[in-house]
Parts: sequence; structure tokens; C-alpha cells
Amino acid sequence: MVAHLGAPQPPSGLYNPAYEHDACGVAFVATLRGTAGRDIVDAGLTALKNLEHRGAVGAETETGDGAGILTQVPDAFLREVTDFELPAAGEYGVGIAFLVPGAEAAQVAAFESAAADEGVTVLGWRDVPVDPSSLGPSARAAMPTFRQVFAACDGLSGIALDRRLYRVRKRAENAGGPFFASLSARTLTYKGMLTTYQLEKVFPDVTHPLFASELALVHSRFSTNTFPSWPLAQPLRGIAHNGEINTVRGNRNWMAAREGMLRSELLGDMAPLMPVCTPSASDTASFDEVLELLHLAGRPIHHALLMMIPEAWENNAEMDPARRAFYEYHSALMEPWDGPAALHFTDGTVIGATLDRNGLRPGRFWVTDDGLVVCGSEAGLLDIDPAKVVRKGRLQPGRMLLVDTGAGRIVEDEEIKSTLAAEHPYEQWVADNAIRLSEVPDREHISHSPRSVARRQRAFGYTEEELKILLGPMAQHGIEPIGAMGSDTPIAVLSQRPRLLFDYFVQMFAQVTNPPLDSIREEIVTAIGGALGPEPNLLEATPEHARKIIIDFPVIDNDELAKILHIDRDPKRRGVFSARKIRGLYPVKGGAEALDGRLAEIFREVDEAIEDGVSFLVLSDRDSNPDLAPIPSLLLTSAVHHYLVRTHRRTQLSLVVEAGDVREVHHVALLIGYGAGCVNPYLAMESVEDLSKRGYLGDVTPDQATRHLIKALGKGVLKIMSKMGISTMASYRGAQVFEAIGLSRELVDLHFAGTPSQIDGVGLDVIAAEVAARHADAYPASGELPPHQRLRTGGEYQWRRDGEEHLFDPETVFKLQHATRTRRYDVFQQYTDRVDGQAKRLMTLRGLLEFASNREPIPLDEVEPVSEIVKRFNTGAMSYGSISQEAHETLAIAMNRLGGRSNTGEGGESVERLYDPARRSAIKQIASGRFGVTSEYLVNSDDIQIKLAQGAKPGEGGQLPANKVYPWVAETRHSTPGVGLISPPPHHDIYSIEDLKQLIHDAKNANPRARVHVKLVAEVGVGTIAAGVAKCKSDVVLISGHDGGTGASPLNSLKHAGAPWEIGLADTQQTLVLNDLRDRIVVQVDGQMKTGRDVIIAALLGAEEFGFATAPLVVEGCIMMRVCHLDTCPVGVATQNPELRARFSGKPEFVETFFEFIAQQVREHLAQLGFRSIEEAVGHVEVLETRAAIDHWKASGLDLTPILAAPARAPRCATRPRRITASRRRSTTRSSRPPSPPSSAASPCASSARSATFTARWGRCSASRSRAGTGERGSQMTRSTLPSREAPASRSAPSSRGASRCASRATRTTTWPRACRAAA
Amino acid sequence: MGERFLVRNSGATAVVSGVGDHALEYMTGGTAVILGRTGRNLGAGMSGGTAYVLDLRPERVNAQALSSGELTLSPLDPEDEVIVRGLVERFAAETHSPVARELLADWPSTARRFTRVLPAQYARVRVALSELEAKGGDLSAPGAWAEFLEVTGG
Repeated sequence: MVAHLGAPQPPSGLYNPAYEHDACGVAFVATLRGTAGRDIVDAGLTALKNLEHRGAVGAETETGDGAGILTQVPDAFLREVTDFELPAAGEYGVGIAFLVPGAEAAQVAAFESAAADEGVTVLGWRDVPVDPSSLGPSARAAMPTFRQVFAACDGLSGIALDRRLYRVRKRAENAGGPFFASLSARTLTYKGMLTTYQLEKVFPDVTHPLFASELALVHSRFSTNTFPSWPLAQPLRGIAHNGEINTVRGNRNWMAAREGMLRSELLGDMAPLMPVCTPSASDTASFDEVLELLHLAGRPIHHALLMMIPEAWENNAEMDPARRAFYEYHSALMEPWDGPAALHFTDGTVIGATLDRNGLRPGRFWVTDDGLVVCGSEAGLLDIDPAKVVRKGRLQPGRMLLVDTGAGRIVEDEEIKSTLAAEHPYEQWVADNAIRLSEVPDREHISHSPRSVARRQRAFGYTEEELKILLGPMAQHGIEPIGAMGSDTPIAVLSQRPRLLFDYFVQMFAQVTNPPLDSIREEIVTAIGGALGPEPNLLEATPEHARKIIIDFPVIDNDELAKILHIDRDPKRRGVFSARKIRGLYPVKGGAEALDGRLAEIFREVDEAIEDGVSFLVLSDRDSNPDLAPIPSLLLTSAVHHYLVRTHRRTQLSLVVEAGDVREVHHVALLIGYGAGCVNPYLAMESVEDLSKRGYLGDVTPDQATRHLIKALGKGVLKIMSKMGISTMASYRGAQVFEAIGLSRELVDLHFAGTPSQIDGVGLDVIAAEVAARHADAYPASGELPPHQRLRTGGEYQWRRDGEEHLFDPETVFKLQHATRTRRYDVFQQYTDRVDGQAKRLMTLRGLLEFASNREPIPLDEVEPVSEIVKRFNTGAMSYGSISQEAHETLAIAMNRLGGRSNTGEGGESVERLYDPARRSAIKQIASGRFGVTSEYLVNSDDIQIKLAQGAKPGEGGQLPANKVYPWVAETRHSTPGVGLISPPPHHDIYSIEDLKQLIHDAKNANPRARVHVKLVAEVGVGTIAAGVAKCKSDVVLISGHDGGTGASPLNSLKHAGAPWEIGLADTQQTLVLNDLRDRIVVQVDGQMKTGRDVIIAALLGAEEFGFATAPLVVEGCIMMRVCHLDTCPVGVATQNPELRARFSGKPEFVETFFEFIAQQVREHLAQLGFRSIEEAVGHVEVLETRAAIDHWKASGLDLTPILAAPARAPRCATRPRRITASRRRSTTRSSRPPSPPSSAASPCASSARSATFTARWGRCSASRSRAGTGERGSQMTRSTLPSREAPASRSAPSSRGASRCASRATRTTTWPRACRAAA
Repeated sequence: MGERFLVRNSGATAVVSGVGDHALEYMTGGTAVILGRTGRNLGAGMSGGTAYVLDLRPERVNAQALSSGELTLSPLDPEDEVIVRGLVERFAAETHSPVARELLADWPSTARRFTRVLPAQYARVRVALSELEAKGGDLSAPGAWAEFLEVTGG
């Protein structure tokens, strides 16, 4: 039902409303004087209007993302406006129903029938007066019918009546009844898809003189896109939230899992009230529903809140033991709902606010001498006379501000928590019932013969490279190894080799709407241990709830596993806990069918275990043999987890995974992310023991090697969690913050339910085939292992002759360098043929795409010249510090000559270069460390790039070790030579999208003539973030692929975080078009771009500008040694060492030649496709087709149609951006030209306008310095006065639907692109 | 003040009457004088600059930085005392802070209540740089950098 009232966009193409984010302004006002008043409501409305800047509007300025107010039930007002008798105040409930137009009668009937079943009397309905005249068209189109219901139940009042009304509401919802903004005897919410100023215009009720309350909670919403809906506006029924719940998928799954166990005397039979969380609601709505349940089932609302957002108690030695026990006890009942949050809540009497454990959202409060309490996200909510303020402060992480209007006082955090902690003897309960795993006596465990290590390694697909590059370093140093340069190997589904199931999943990470965390520097707020064991009824509190095994670490060794397996031997635990092992093996000859059959059998074994009261299930893939092969541990774990969630029994036991295939941090993270309590990576441990025994680990003993490995794996998981902004293992468990790339939706929906899988892919058959291939390696038909080779080579991280394929192999590197150094286009074509050939051998998603054959070619000389195309090219953000001065300047000189743009990277720019038109970098980057960012730096930029994530390691910070902070590096970074520098994972002034909006505003004020970029990394849902970025008024959004380069990155990030740019770019294009935002922003893309074909495909998918990093570095001399992080680059590219730098042999001319050759190839492709310019080609996905015959044993299941989807909703013309700022920037060179000047140059030629470009730009830069400070207005004016670009003649006609939309738009706006008006 | 007071400070001088968790995080330069309560996790990732904290509770300093020796805690030396007193006097003059005035009233005992928080590597580098300057040395000379790193332990 909710879907009809907004959220008008069903999933289409890559867009899915599930990925929407919001972040907002929130405030409350309350009085301690003990009487309700109109003044409090007015104060709330004023505060709301003062939050306007934290909300957002989309393409329609008159449609807001959402605004609302929650007050006490205004009894006097309601008596005045109803024509039926109301019982005494508190003895009737009231709420606004959002009825779907046309279905009102049926929905009302559904509600009344549910009310009758629950013995609730409907006293009457009131049509809520509404004035929609100020609403924008989308808000109006989605507007529900508002009717206020009044209901009572024989003398029940307050919370007792609310419990009954909850039953009615939930039952009605399950029977197609209406959505209620609230339905309560204590509170009343008015809200909608409004701007803050529209609330009182649209709902005149709230301005009525009799509308009075002691408290008011208000909220202004900023959503990343323009499909906010009426029900999603806040306040919700009990809360208003500014933040993001990063773990919501897990939290929802766990709630679903608990449903079977829920019992409440107060609420009665729970079955008809399920599910607790409404499907497809927002994260905040799910939170609200769970909070409401906990509260109505008997806990004070602030108690319930502390269960869901506990403060960081785990590592706080200073905390009072009773309070600690309170948290520890409740941690056994519920995992934290983790993420940045400022949460304001009320039950109608108490009203309060709290922050998340990291304090990543702002919150301040003021108390006046006449008892007014104001709390909100910022100063200036109300105009309060400072003389009247008796107290002010800020909310602190994990602390609570609570106002009790009933008692007329503020309850201090200390008092709240000590009162709650004293309610039960929690300390005693925990001490009596919980046991630390470390305290369980040792049990003997079976030792396995080391002789079989090699065979088992083969069975699990271990490679020599993994031993050397991954396991060796972890065993030696106890930390995850790092590597350099990007990943240019095929994604798992495109690899010819059998890949582990783990490789089909990529990690999601926080960008823009929530900050990643620093798990190293801010370890005190993290918690890596946790409580395992069955979880009884959430709605009760008994000593038995504390019966748990406490583990300190998510990775356990064989001794610890043995303790769990034999837990019932402990006399104190006998009858309380028991464990059972499930064998995850299947007859390999039977293929997918046997695998599927074995899973079904396992489900039956799990059923039996639950019936027998087993509390720990050990899922094991040990003991494979010539007939039985291991089920991939991830499949085994997630399948069992989801089977139990589906059947609402998941909380009755914990899962322990004993897995041979686990050897990377990413693997452990996945297992925990899909429900494992802890992981025993037995073969990885045996492997490092073996390495130690064979002398590969120096003086590290086998035992130390195991310890180190466990530590590296566990800490690595913490780091992966923190990339997503998650700080506790308990909330990460089952949170599924992963995206599947290349797995069939059927498989995902069954065994990994809720995981995004955007391009479909392989099913059980391929998984079984991959297992079988590995198994055959371990058990060859001959029965003998080949003596000459222990394991396969690998070659995933570094190119090997007999290993995995890389886009850059010695031959492509040689050909590229040769071609650009000798300026031989024919050799260059051999290079691109080879790269494109590789791509077509299906190493990349773009390799699966082909150009449509029905295009009419045009003569090459009609296509825009090379000199125009190269202006769309950028080099990647590589800091001076990570690459040498020579390498950095060579790129800058080449790009300046071409009229493209080079990028400073994070590290500033020396003053000599800043003012040197030849050597400066046009793009100045602002990264999280802000090194070298000064006013002078910003003023002298053409583009300002705000880096929110980096392709190679999204969500992570960086570190420049002391020995690399050479004096010249320190100087440009304004730091001290020889002292290491840290870049934090988040920007500490961007914790949310409205913070980003502020920074963009500041950047534009620093330099009104510069374009502002926001750099994002492709991941599922990046399109909605890009839409948010457009709403922040960024000029450019850059979508980086997951495979981008780096000077140093943990290997798991390099390989397993983020998605290919093809998906992210298409998602961005589609979402921007759907949102009518495409013409506000320029879209740029980068990530392993190497050929003209790559550029054309990117343009057709929607990109207008293109970034290259690795390829120009190779042109400069890089030979892909991948040792950037070691400062030993043998060709002087990625080093500061003066001796190595002397070997640098690159020249700007080589780089220029590279880009000109690329541009020439682009021209040839354009001519072939009948486009005269890139501009004409942008967004024409219909020119792309999926290759007809895909000859690949895995890739045949892929479905790229979502990538090629053209949004049907919006006008075609929106894909044709105005390129406002781009043309503004280049007005001297571009606007004077005809749109598609014929070029006489048939071969690549140097830009004739080079020197003119320099002068123009240089002159402008000086001008911009004098103009700095003119503010946004200047840039706005420039924008609106720009000419729109010519419409091409050869464009296909827009759909009739699009045309009619265009027409309606064209009458509204004069700045609409001419193409659209022409079409209309 | 909020959490992460002076985060990534690279040169500013600040006097403040109290700070929240994670104060001085990622600081690379500048000076902080904290006249009151600190939150937990002071000085995490602090690689440069100097902080002077009144009544510092060492358990509230980033534990890893202390145990690894990255951060050093020490009483004020006479030079520090001059700096801190000057800053507190200016703070008192400009803000009329009663706290500051009270502290200045009995400066000798106040000075003893301060702890200096200083990153060890930063301190060594500063000494080495001033010695180098005194000698008229040049870091970009061949071999100078390696020697410098050796001296400073970088």
C-alpha cells in the first residue's frame, strides 16, 4: 500500500528504491512547566523552518523530501473540530490514515474490521483539511487522502490503549488497511512529502489556536533522490532520525528470525501482528517499528532505545560495572542497529535524544529559565535570548538527554542508566549464566596428518601465489598484506579458472551518506567479540537470557573449536548447551543436483538438531575424499542461515563454521556477514604451520604463525566492517553488506536473500563445476598428484605466464610504450587490438557489449577533431608523494598542452607549479587528510575534486610512512619531513549528504569559477548517491571503477571492494535521468580505461568525461612491477628516491601521443556509429548490444540488460546534458566553435589551439583570484546565461511519452535543452 | 567542544576549556591547550604538534599510541611554561574565562598540573632539523635523507 503514496519508481534497470538514503535535520522542543501550550507547537514549527537548509529539493523546487511534526494529542483542538463525542483525554486514540485515492472505502473497511476483531470502537472519522495548492506536481500526484480516525476501547487509556491500537493497526496493515502516520492515545503526527515551509500551509490543523502540546518533535528530510514518499517522511510514530542504519539488512533478518520466539502478555497473540518490520520500508521505519514493539511490550522507550543503540561499553574500563552488565546482558538479546545517528524519540510524556557511539551526527540543546528545552542538530533553531539560557550543551556519543514532561524535569544520563541498570541484578545474571570461551576447559581434538596438506590445499584451490603473497605475510607479521596498482584481472564470473564462491561477492562501503570509520585510531568504539548461543523471547527479561558463550575474537583455533564441540561435557553446561557437527560434503560426481540434494538433506539435519535442542551447529567441510567434495563454506553457511531465518528459528542456535576454503580476510568477513558466529579456518592454519616448518617464515614458529594468521584475519574483518561504518561484530553478523556480481538471482534469492545481484549470473551448476574442477586437481583420475607442481601458480595479484590473465601483460605494456614513444599509430592499434581482444575474451563486462550493426556510418572528417576529444580526458588523482615529481609533472605538462586535465591527487601542489601554466594540475583534489589544501591552492584550480572514495580501497584512509615524507613532499603537504602522515577514512567534516552540500558550497565560494567534482566509487546504489550529489549542486560526479589503481592498499580492498564502472556508470545515468537531474551534472568515469573502445562504451553508457591513470603511467615508463608501496620503483615512476628517479624516462610528448591516439580511435568509432561528436553519443545505450554468442562456460548466465536499460519515465533529452559548467570553463575554446566542426585531419594531430588554451586559462586563473569571494551567485549567473548546445540532426525521436513530458517541461522552463524543445 | 576537537590540525593554536572523545585526532602540527575535562581516546593518530592538558588522565589518551611510544607524556619544561602561560593569559583576556583567571591566580601550582603531549617522532625530527639548520646542512644533499631518517628513527 505504501508504494502508492510516493516512491513512484518501481525498480527499473539498475535503479532500485531500496538503495535510497536520507539524512536530515531533526529537533525537539519541550516544556517543563507542566502545561501544554500553543507556544510549544509554534516553537516546533519555527525550529522546523529553521532546518530548511538541511532538507533538499529535487528537480521540482516545490516538492520537498519530507517534513513533519509530532506532538501530544491536542485534546482541546480535537474536541473543537469533531462532531462526535470523545471520551476523556487519554481514553481515545487518534491518527491520520494515509488512504490510497480510489481505495479509501476498502481500506477503511479493512481497518474497521480489524478494530471490531480487537474490540476497539471506531468513534468516527474526520476528513483532515488539506490545502495542496503549494505542492509540487510529484508530491501532489502521490498525495494520499487524509482521514483522521478516532477510536476507543472500554476505558483503556494511555499505553494500554496504544497496545490495542497497535494490534488493530498491524492487523489492518496485513489486510490491506491504510498506512497510519501515527495511531495513539498519546501522540499525533502530521507529516508528508513537503518542504518545511509547506507543512503548516498544507495542514492548517497545526496552526489552530487550540492545537497545544507540551512537546513537539520535528524533522526535515534530505533524500538522495526525488522519489521520497508521503509515508517515508518523519517523524515516525516514536522517533525522528538523522542518520543511516548501516546494518539494517541484518537487523531486519534477525527480527524476522526472532518472530517465532516472540511472546508478550501485554500484547497478546503475536501471530497476526507479524511481520514486525514492514517489507520495503526505510531503515528508519524498521527501527521505529522495532522500538515501538519493545516499548509496547513493556520497556520504557529509552530502555528500548539503549538496547538498539547501546553506547560503546565494550572497551570502556571506566564504566560503572552495573551499567556495563546492563549493556552486556542486553547485547545477548539484540545486536546494535549500527550507524551514524542522532535519534530523537518520545512516548508522549518523555522526550529525548541520543547519538550513536561514534558521535557522527550533531546534537545540541538549550534550557531556558522558564523551562523550555530545545534540542536539535544545530544552533539557531530558535531565537532564544541568551540571558534566559540556564544551561546548554551538546549531545555526546552514546549519551542520552531525556526530558520528563510529566515530572517537569530533565533526567540526566547518569540517572537514566543507573536506574535502568538497577532494575534487575544484571551483573549477577551475567556472572551466573554467561561463560567466556577462554574459561572453558580444554578438550582434546583430533590432529590431522600434515601429509595431506598439499592435497587438501588443491581441493580448496590454493595457489602458490596465495601462500606467498597472502598467507606468508599474514603468518609472519600478523597483519593483512598490502599491494599496489589496480586490479586488471577478470571478475570471478568472467574468469576462465574455477573461482571460489567468495570471489563472486564484493564488499559494500560507506560513501557520502554515512562515514566510514577508523578501526585503528578509534578502536575504543569497536567491539570484535560477542555472545553466542540461543536467544530466548526478546520481549522478556530473565536470567536465562544471559546464557551465552562469550568469544573474544571471530576467528577461532582448533582448541577453541573443540571446546565448543564438547561444550556439554562441562557439568555446568550440560543440559544447557550442546553442539552438533553438520558435514558439508556432497558426492561430487552428481554435480549441481547432488549439491542441491545434499543442501536439502542438511536442512533436515538442522531441523533435527533444533528439535534436539542443539545450541551450536558446527558447519564443517572437513574430510573430503575422492568421492565427496566440500560444499563452498559460504554457500553452506548462508543456506543454513537463511533456511532458519525463513522458518523463524534462527535465534535458537548459533553457527560455527569450520572451513577449509577460508584464507583471506574477505572470506571471514563474508561468512560472518552471512550469519556465522565464528570461523575456524583450519586449512589456512595448517598451511601457515606448514610454511613455517618448511622454513619460509624466518624464525616464526608454527604456533606463532597460527596466532598471527588468526589475528590478521580477525582484525582485517574489523577493518572491512569499518569501511561500511559498522563498529561491532554483533551488528555486522548477518548484515550482508555485500553485493553479488555474476550470481544467478534464483540462487541469491534462495540462499543469500536480500543481497543485490544486478547482472544475474551463474547458478549451482557452475558452482558445482568449479568445486569439481578443484576436486579433480586434488584427486586426479590417475590417482597420483603431479610431482612437479605442488599447487597452481595463481597470478591473480601479479601476472604469471601460466596464471590468470591481466589486461596489462608484458606484451601490452611493451606495445603501448613502443607505440607512444615512436608515435606509431599502427603499433598502438596492435596494443588496443590486444587489450580489446582480451576484453572480448571476456575479461571485462564491456567486453560483453557490442556496437549495434544497424548504425549508418559517416565520413571520418565529419567527426569532431582529436583536439576537441582530448579535452574530455583527465589523468587520475595520483599524489605527489606516491609518484615522483618527474612522473607527476610529465602528466601535467602533457594534459595542459592537450587542454585536458591532470589531477594533483591528495598532497597539494608546490607553489612553483601552482603558478606555472605548463606544469600545474588543473584539477585540485580535496581528500580526507586535506594535505596541501590552502586557499591559494583552491583559488588556482580549474576543477576542485572532493574525493570521497578511491577505487582501489573505497572506505579506507591511507598512510604515508615517515621515510616517504621527503622534505619536498612535506613542503607541498605543509607538514614535517620525516614524520608519517595519516589520511582518515572519512572526511571529518562530511558525515552526511548535507555536510557534503556545505563543503561544495564552501569550495564554490573559495573559487566561483571552478567546477566542483565529487568522486565516488561504483557499488550497488551508487546512482542514488550520485543523485544526492547532484542535489548538493556539485558540477561533476566521477564514478570510479573498483579496479582503480593505488600506491598502497590492503589486498582485500584491491580485489574485493566495489563494482565495475560499467554497472556504476549505468546506474548513475539511469538514476539521474529518472530523477530529472541529469542535466544538472556532468558525469565522469574512470577505472582501467585503456582504449578508444573503452571510451566509446563509457560515453554510450552516459559518461561525458574520461579518466585514465594506469595507462598514462605505463606510457611514462611503468612496467607494472606493483611495488609502489615499497618506494623501490625501478623506473622512477612511483618513488621519491632520487637515485631511482634518475631512471625516469617518460616525456610529455609520449603522454600526449597516447591521448591523441585514443582520441583518434574514438573518432573512428564515432564515425562508424554515425556520431559527429562524443556529445552526440552520450547516453545512447541503444547503440550497445549484448554479444549474441557468449562462448564462456560461466558468462552465459549473465544478463546485462539492466545496464543497457534506458529509463522509460523521463524524456530522452535529459540524457543530453547541457554541460553547463564544462562549457563555462572552456568558453574561450568551445563556444566560439560550431558544434561539430569538420576536421581535415585524418590522422591524429596535435592540437592547434594549444598555446591559445594556455593563455586563456592562465589569464582566467588570475582573474579568478581577484574574483574570489563573489560567492555562488556569480556562478549561478554564468550558468543561466550560457547558450544551450545544438541538437544533432541525426537523433532518434523520443518516445511519445517522453515528448509529452518534454512539452510540459518546456513550457515551465526556458533553460531546457534545445533538443528537448525541438522534440516537443 | 565537540568530539574530535582540532582533528587534523596542521598549524592552528587553540585554547579550550574542555574536549570530547578523540580530541587532537590525526593532528600534524600546531598547539593545543586544554584547560578541562577530556573525553576518551585523546591523540589518536596524532603525529605532530604539541598539546598541553590540565590534569590529564593518561588512561584517556589513545592506548595504542602510548604503549607503542608514539606519544610521550611529560611535565612542562620552562620553555613550555612560557608558551602555556602566555596562551592562558591571552585566553583569559579575550574570553574573560573565570577558569583561566583562577588558573593564573596560582600559576606555579597550575603549571605543575599540566601534562605535555608530544609525538615522539615529531619531537626527534624537530630537534634534528634545528641541529641541521644550525650546521647549515641540506636535506636534499646526497645521503642526507638516509642519515636524517636514521637519526630520527623514521
